[in-house]
Amino acid sequence: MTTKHHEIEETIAAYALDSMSETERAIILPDLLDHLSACDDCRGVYHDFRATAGDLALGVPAEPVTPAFEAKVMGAIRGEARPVAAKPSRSRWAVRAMLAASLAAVAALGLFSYSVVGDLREERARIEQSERVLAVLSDPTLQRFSLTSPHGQGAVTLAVANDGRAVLTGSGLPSIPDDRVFELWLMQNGTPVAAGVFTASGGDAILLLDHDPRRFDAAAITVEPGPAGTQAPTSDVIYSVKLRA
Amino acid sequence: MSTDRSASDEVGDLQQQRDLASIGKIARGDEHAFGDLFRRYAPGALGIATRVLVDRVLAEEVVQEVFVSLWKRAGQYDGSRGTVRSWLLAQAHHRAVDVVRREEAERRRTTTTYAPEPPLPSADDVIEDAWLADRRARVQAALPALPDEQRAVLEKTYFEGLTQAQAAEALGVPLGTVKSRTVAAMRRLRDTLERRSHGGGEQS
Repeated sequence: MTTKHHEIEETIAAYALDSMSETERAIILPDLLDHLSACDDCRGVYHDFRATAGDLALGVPAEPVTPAFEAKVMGAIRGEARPVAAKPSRSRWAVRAMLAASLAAVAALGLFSYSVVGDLREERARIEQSERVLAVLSDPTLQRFSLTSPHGQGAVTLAVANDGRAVLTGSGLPSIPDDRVFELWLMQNGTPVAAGVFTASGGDAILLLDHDPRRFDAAAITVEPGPAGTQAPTSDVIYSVKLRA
Repeated sequence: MSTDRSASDEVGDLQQQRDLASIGKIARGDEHAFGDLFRRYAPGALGIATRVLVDRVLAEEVVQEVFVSLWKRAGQYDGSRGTVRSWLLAQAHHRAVDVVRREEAERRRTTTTYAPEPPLPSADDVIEDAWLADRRARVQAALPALPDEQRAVLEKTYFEGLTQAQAAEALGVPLGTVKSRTVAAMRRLRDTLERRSHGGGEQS
């Protein structure tokens, strides 16, 4: 265990300092997320190292901002359309988009990062998506629910912050046909509410929820027709957990 | 001394509260609040971006992106990301490293050798909030206090934007050594900058 935590600490340090290659990031990030969601100590290290890395920037002298540069930036923001209500839309498609972004961040950074010279917007969106997942997973108030499988396969955890943000992480998930997706259900008074669909990459999956699981009694996962899933479960539950008594 | 530190920390906490209030205003489109935040942190962001990129023009582009992105996404700012200060500076660093690695990929295609231009002489007359200047003084005191081999690793990775593997090659040490020295350096810096600053309760 100690060896593992030591390795994780090395990974966190490299990640915080932006000194991993994008390929390393893509390979290591899923495991790191998984571990951070399950380990308070490492989450603490992640918080600390990120703060320290931010402050390291103060280790070099500040550079004066010229009036011309300030005017340029102020001009640039005036040219930007103001985002109306900054909250992301709450549709299931938005969930799919978010999921796709998370998985892409995990799986494809190495492919995209240096080739798309000039337009890194997409990649940044992915990175920011990962950051949001990390922000939830590094929340000190996190409460974790392990979903159990009748087949005892893989590990799925629902991590819920006390403000209701939640992330589902899975590893060792069974492989399913290409035209199928995993669908998460949140149960309220015996009624399942569709809470997002996801696929697994190498058995690993991440889903940033758009529902607050604290308002529900239980969570369950089924396999449904892709890509959009269904409005009500049509197959057997493969993972489930009670969220409150 | 410990009273100094905790006073400085209280100012830091207060600053974070002010910054968060600014973020709230920025999310509602307040250009003055944005201008204040920009003037407070852009010199620091420009400092690290210039250090990594060794090019003032590229550094300005990176810092502009960071702040424009803040303007567009202030409503999504997540307090659990840490302080506004360290988040902005980390963004500037992250994007600068992004650019330097792209640039490097470009260079590898076009030329085999690369001689960096010397950094621009930096002005001493950058006006920073006293509190930020104090924070800067603490970081600048903590870095030289690191053992040479730990500082060399941070120099190559964080300040030059190399990956750990590239840093290992540049320093002629195994990758595992770079990784362990990095952790040792980060722990030491954290303890100097964060733990100690929480004042009082020393632990053995």
